Amino acid sequence: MFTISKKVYKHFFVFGVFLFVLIPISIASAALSCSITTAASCTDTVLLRLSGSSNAHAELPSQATATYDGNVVCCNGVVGLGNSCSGNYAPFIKLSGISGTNSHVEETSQSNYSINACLSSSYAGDVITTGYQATNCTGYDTTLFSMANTTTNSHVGSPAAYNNKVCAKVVPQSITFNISDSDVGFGNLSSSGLRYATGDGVGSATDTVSYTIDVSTNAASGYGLYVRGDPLKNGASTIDAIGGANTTPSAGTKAFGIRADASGGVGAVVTPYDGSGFAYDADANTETIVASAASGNGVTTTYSIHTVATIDTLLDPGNYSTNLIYIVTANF
Amino acid sequence: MIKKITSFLTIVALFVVSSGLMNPLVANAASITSFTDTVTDLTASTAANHTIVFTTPTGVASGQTIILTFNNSTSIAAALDYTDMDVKDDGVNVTLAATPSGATWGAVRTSGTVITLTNGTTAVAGGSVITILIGTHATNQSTGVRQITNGSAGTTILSISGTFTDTGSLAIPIISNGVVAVAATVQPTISFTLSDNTIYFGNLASSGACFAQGTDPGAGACASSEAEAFNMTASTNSPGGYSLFVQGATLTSGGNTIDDPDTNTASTVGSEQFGLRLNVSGAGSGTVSAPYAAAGYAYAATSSVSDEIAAATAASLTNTYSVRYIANISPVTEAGSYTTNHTYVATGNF
Repeated sequence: MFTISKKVYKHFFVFGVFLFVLIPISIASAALSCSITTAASCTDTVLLRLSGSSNAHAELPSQATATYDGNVVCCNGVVGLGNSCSGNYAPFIKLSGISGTNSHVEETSQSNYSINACLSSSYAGDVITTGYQATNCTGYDTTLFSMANTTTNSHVGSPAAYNNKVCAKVVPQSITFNISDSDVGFGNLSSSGLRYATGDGVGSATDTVSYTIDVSTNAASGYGLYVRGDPLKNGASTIDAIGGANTTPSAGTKAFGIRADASGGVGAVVTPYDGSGFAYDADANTETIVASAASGNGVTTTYSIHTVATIDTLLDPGNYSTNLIYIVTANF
Repeated sequence: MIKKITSFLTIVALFVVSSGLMNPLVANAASITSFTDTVTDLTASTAANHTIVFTTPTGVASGQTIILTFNNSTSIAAALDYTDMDVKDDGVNVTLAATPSGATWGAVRTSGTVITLTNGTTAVAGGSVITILIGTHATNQSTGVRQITNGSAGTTILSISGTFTDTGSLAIPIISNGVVAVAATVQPTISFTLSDNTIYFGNLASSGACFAQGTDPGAGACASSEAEAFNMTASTNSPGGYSLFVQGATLTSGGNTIDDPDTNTASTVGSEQFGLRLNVSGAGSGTVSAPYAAAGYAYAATSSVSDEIAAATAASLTNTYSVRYIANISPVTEAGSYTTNHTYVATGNF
């Protein structure tokens, strides 16, 4: 079997200390980040324990061999991270030792060893990917450690020890949603022309963007952007919603509507809000879908919302208002 | 002999390892699919209804649980219970109670972030669509009154787990304000026009009525047939409509005046009479007020007191009021040049 002389151990220990000093402590971020550190100093998730920083054996995180305490693969940056081999997980290496310690390792595609070491997330929707690359872990979030040999029967070391890198990536479910302005206004409405809401509340006689909505997600089946809310009201007086057909309202006829333009990402405005006219087919209790994406690629789509209103000559004077509630529902 | 045994055991061990017989049995839970949670308001710290929909590949056996877990400081109302929830299996409501019994499901708030559903005795088939309504839109057995309060701005994860073995998670975007307040102003409006500011009777006579008109009929003449002297238009968006008033003296020449009966009176040829009446037309809702609406004539205003001649009781489109003036004199009416100024006023009843 494999043996390591005292001298080699000493060298490895010195090298390990050197690595420990030089490798900066990882900072929690949105991406998976792993580094070799000591068991005592790792307050995050340990994925694997190494007998040294080079030419080393491996053991599972559940083991507690004292000589492995100096070099553990310590990971953070992702909420819900774990080392379980159940639930949502991906094995990243196989260990030769039946008890999960003092092991050589092999790639997970091999079938010589039976003990998996795994990277897991408590969130079922997170996408976990592990792999093996020469030189670097480009395309992944982080390098877990390195292997002296490819495929099987390999010693392990710190990420810098060998050219054969063991890589990992966790893509948490993500969805972002932002509305650029929470207060817009038309100013004084007119029966002789169309009026468009603006962010300064004054309104405009020419069609302009009232506010924008940004949406992005990595949900496989995309998302829907919905709006709910009454049309403009003042007590019992209502400026009628245009309805479900894209229409350019006629000045002098009560009308309230929106339309949207999309840019970036894979999202698209949904009929009837995608035409050159306007529509509004919601009320305080019923949503209408404004936009959607059939898939999620994480790229933000910006929806520019245009809001129009016009009135007839009989409409009660006063201050009209409504709250439009936008919601995004991702389909994971 | 020992060597042989060792070789045999080695071969057996290699066989076992290479055949995969020692691979651990990993029970990979199925992932739920088509997982959505429609939240009625994504504003941070705001109470909202949730409509959670997913497909369970495995199904839910009798007695198994479905556990909903929120993070990001989401707060499930303390008193929220099964009366605030609906659960549907392929669109069909199941009966809920605090604890499962028979075919009835149990539905409880386990903590401020966890809700646990426990199936009764009726298994849910694999591939079924589970729909869970939590909040005031749950109406099956009773209308819900409690909701789930969103956490802070950021991503909230809703995880599905439980002994039914399927799992899933879903990201919900919570933002500081998911509401766009839209404001507009409708100004009060009223329009009022007069078609003419000077009208003429011409030469009044005791032998026949004279009607005012926009042009001077010339010396010794007057218009003997009723005609429009001038017209007025009025409209408003005032919910209370408008009123039109006239104010001014009767025809006057120094200290002499032409009598002006207050009541609607037909032409009194040979007797003094000054009055007016109005016809109304147009799409508005305005009407002529008494005593000016009938076929005769009246004038109830004075130089200091106005009198209403027309009105609309609600917001009105434009009406046109055609004003007709009559004057009769007696044989003893003092000679002279008779005039008056009538001031018309429109008042919106806002």
